[in-house]
Amino acid sequence: MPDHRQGHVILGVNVLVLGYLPAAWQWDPRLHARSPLDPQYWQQIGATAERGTLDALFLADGPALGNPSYDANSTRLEPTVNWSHVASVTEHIGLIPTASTTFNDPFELAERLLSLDYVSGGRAGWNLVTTRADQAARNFGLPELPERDDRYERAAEFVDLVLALWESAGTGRDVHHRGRFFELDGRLRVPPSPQGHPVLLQAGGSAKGRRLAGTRAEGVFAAELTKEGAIEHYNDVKQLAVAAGRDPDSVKILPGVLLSLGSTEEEARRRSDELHDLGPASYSAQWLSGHFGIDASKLDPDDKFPEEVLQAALDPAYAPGSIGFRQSIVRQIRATNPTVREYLRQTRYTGSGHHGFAGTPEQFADHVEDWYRSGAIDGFNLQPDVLIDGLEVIADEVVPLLRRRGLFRSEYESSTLRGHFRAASAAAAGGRALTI
Amino acid sequence: MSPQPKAVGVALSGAHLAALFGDRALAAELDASGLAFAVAGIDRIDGSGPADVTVDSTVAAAALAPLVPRLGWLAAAAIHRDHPYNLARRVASADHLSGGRSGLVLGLRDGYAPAGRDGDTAWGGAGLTAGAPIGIHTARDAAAALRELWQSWPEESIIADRRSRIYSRGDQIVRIGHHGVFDIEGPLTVPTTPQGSPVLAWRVTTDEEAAAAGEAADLLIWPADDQGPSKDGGALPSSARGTAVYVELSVSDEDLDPQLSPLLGNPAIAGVVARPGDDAPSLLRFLRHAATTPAIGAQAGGVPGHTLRDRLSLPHSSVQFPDARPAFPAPEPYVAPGT
Repeated sequence: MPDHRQGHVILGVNVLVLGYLPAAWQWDPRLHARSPLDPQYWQQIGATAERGTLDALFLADGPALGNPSYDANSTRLEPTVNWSHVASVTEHIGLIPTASTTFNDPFELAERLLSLDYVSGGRAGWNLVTTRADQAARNFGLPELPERDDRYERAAEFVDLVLALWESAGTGRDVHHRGRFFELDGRLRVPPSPQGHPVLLQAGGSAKGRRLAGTRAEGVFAAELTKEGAIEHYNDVKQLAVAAGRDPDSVKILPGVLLSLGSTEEEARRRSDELHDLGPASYSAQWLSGHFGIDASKLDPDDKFPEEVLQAALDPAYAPGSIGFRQSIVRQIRATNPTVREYLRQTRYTGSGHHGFAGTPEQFADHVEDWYRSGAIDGFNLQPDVLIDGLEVIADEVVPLLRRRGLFRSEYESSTLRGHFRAASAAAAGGRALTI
Repeated sequence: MSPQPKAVGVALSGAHLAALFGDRALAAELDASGLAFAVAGIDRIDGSGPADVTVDSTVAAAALAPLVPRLGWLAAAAIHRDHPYNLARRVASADHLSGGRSGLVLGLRDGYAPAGRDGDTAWGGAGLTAGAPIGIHTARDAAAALRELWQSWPEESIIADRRSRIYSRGDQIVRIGHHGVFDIEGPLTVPTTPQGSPVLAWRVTTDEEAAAAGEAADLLIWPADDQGPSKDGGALPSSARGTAVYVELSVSDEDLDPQLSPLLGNPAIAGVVARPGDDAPSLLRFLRHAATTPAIGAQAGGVPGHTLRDRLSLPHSSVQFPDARPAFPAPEPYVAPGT
């Protein structure tokens, strides 16, 4: 294991609007009914993230409204516009919108993302997703989502076309594209940004997704539950990158981590419990149903998971839900064989799909150091339970601890998102042995 | 009796937008100009070919709104390589983040959109569904869908009640079930905005377009030329009656007062969208003239806290949903186990 890694970690924040738990809106007195829509809220998030010299803010997205009856995080401002606003009130933080390759036109999206990159001075990324909610399809005149294989094939062609269009903005030469899904002749006229074009990121752990990451992406928002699984996937993607003739350092692996922090471990768990109890219990069951392709409320909570349910969850032909999440959940269930109730409760602290962490800033710094030095990650995409105060603890307590351990920078050393990514490994040049 | 003050806005080209991001001083001059609003990217929808430089209109408007806080921001866009659901989200998002100072100027086609299979249809280039013919009929349907989507999640449904733990009354949110050129179920992911709905303008060039836009939009922007309104302040074409009309006027580098006066004195029009030369130096000279032109300084532009609808004296948008269904069941107050 490369225990002498000498670079520093990359820290992104998956904002999930007010935080990853549905009851986040009830938690902090500074939050109000309109917080998800409030420019002051977003400015504050940007300012706190820059105080912690964090690398990037990331916004998940899908073009359909989830039920906001108990969950303010269903409110979804459109990410490229949200980050355009934040770009003008921040100076350093990278800004990564999620945008669908299924429900966009590649020319329009390429132009819009390059525009975000230009107006932010080279701080934009693009987290590409294929979108997996049928409800989104009905906003675009389709009764249901295109088949998964089609969506991924379309995504691959879409990404190549977007990359070619971004390049055309620099060269001034037209793209002539003839593909299965798209045909066009033309070029972008958006001025290239200081980083040339947005950083490409990919979320999700399917085989196709990983291949796309290895060949094209500069960052992966992975879903990992265990360090061992994370190391395996880390090496997988880096190997795919090498096989594609790329420097393995050119693709950064950033798993999500669900985060509840407190001044003691007990306080962190209590915070997590209280936040879970503020939202209807059906949310956990719904979450599991959504990702698992079963109606989890029909399972007996005091029984173990039936084997056929676990088997069915691993079927790649099942359309909704992310295969990466499902694999990670099944692996977790098989490890301890819990009852449904036990599983839903234990995942409060350990996460589900993404791994979770409930503890103190010191413990979390240990966790970051362990995963980083074990070669499981290049950094984390942090998902605080409640963003407004969780981000403050990250900026003011976790980051200083990581700095003292030489695991994070004290000041921004670069002004673009790609620069931030490169700076993380620059310190390791020559000294880093990557085991792949 | 002196005529009512009229709003004066500026139409910005792609080159202007690019220059504003590189030059904070230029943005400050725009903010200090006394103008009521800016149209971001007018050349995208004016029927001309692509210029050398542009920036996406919705991104530019959203990013400039905090840098130029005294103006309203209208993004120029067409349903061409864009879809009404995506465009509705972006404009409503910008409206929230600007405190109700945003909107959209629709055109029929996007001058920067490239050719190619289905590239000359509305939303055909996305390769998802068959494209619709670009034209008035498609734009009118898109405008209707935008207005419906913008009203599909009433902000009043958001109660954020910590006692019942209900954030939003899901049963007050509607699936719009829009069926026309576009089929859109809704609702939007964004609630109604501080001004109700973003301002919806439509840049028109013919009587037929003006008649369609009059039904679908809050206001028309109509270039002064032989077919449209006269720049000397004559009567408006009859197709524009009953709608707020802003006359788009190409202005020279000279003193603005004599250029604007005939229009500002015409009771039939609501305001003027001044269009300086497409390059950045022309914009700067225009802004300096604007800042010293009493007819512009007297406008409502620059009153903080006012929405763009207020500044332009536009009524709130109201949309009926005869066939709409509640998007979600009525939420029950939530009581935690054991309490």
